[in-house]
Amino acid sequence: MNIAQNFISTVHRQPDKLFLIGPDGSEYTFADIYSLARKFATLLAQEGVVPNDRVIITFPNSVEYFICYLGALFNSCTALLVDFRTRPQHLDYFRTNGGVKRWIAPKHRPEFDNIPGQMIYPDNLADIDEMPEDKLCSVENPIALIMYTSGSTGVPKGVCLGHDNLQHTIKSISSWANIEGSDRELTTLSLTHLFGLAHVHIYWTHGGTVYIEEKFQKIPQLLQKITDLNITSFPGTPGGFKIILDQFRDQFHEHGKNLKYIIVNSAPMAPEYVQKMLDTLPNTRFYMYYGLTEASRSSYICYNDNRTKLVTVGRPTPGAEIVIGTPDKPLRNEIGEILIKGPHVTKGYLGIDSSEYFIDGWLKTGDSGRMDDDGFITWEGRIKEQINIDGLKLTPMEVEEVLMEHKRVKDCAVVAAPDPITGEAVAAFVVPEGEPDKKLEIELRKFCKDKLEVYKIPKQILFIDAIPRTDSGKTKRILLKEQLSGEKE
Amino acid sequence: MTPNDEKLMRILEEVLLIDESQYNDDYGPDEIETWDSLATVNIAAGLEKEFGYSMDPEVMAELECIGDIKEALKGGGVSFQG
Repeated sequence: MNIAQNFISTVHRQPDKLFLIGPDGSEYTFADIYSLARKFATLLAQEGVVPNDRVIITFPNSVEYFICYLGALFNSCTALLVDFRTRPQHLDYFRTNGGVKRWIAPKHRPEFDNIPGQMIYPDNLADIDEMPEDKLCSVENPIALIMYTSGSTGVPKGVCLGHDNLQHTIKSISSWANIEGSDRELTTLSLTHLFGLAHVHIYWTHGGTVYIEEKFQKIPQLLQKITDLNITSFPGTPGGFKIILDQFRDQFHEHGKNLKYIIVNSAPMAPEYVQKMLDTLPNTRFYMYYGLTEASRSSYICYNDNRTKLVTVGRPTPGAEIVIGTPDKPLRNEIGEILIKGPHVTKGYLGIDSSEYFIDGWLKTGDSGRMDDDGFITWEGRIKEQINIDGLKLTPMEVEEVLMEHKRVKDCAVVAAPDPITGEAVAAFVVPEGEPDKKLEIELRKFCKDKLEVYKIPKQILFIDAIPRTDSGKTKRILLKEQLSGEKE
Repeated sequence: MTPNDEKLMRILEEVLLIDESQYNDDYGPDEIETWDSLATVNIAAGLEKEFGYSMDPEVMAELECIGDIKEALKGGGVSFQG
């Protein structure tokens, strides 16, 4: 069933219930959003978009984003959700690779002018008719969403998620986190990513209220909102909570005391911070889950009930299966690749043969982990070359390709550097043309800024004489990482 | 530009990757896309290193533009007069 049908059911049940509070404080009931999204669905149809077409929606967190998203789903389209910070060349890649008819943005941006198919969100939807109810979600379209992730070769892959995948996730999270229609969530997470978005799916299914912030900033005011808006749920990333726990712990203790639950995802959280969270908000249920876009919410743990398992990411969620190593002879208490199976797992990647990413129906995550005798999984690291910046992922190759375009870069290699807040950060080793200095370091970082999303810009650039490689030319990233830890000491 | 302006500009250039044209008192996270909460933490670390000024987290959280950073520094005895 189309996940937008969940929204329609809720509208019929409680049209006047508050659904969204925008970053500017504006409030929208379920009926308000229903009306606006139906108007937008009409507008899409007027623009030539038909069921099963693919449309890109690239917005910052906003009410308009949900109007577009629901409008696309009402139209039985597949939505490609793209981070608003995405660079023009990447958006154009998603557009061509995704076979996209229109891409929708909130405002005109000159640097995106050359990308065909642009549609700017209108100033006013007042004169547009609502799409008739019998036309909503009227055509079967198995793929609800396509989300691009960093591919192992550096080329982003479009992860196809079906309505059935998302319905399962809604059911799964609702059951173990006990989310109800009376809950109110405050989210600063980017809603073009599945972690934050899946929560909104749950809220529109159960009739809860979501307060959207555009960014994670102005933390004291953010914490004050938890009290002012009677917030019961506050999901976030380990890096965000680390800042809160280090710098605003007293305010968090004061404003967070009525939070029903906190959910963390996207990157590992150090056990001392898990403990700090439990100590700061002793009456709040604190959950962590593990997953990836291809298999969201594959395991979960409530740390309040499992205080001896703070280093783990819990056990499989209802319906999900996880094994370590191989499906035939799964490992226990030993490290191997994490394999996942279940109704939440992606149908595959857009336009490519996905068989190499699966083994006997099990998704090969590229993560390594260990399962203990109680079935709890500890995330140990990655097999794939991927960098995780507080949940935002990239491959070294994406950055290396850009650096190599600079005339003063003879060779380069990118690795994950440990970072006290975001877990990992991008570090680039560069073999320079000529004598390097601080100016060149900043010049290279600015060069990356013009071509890459902000989180992919190297936080540090180290100049070396040669990149260590194997005889077959493979970069010895472990040696470079050792060099980084040597620098720290 | 005063010597302290130049010093502050260097910190902001390194953290936010801005050019001199963006070193504007009115510019903040809305104008400078690299300016997020993590960048604010890094700016504060830079201020401590370069100016010996330790920024209170509450002040850090209130920063809305480059002018606010200067105001905070002035409160800490750093002059921006030529």
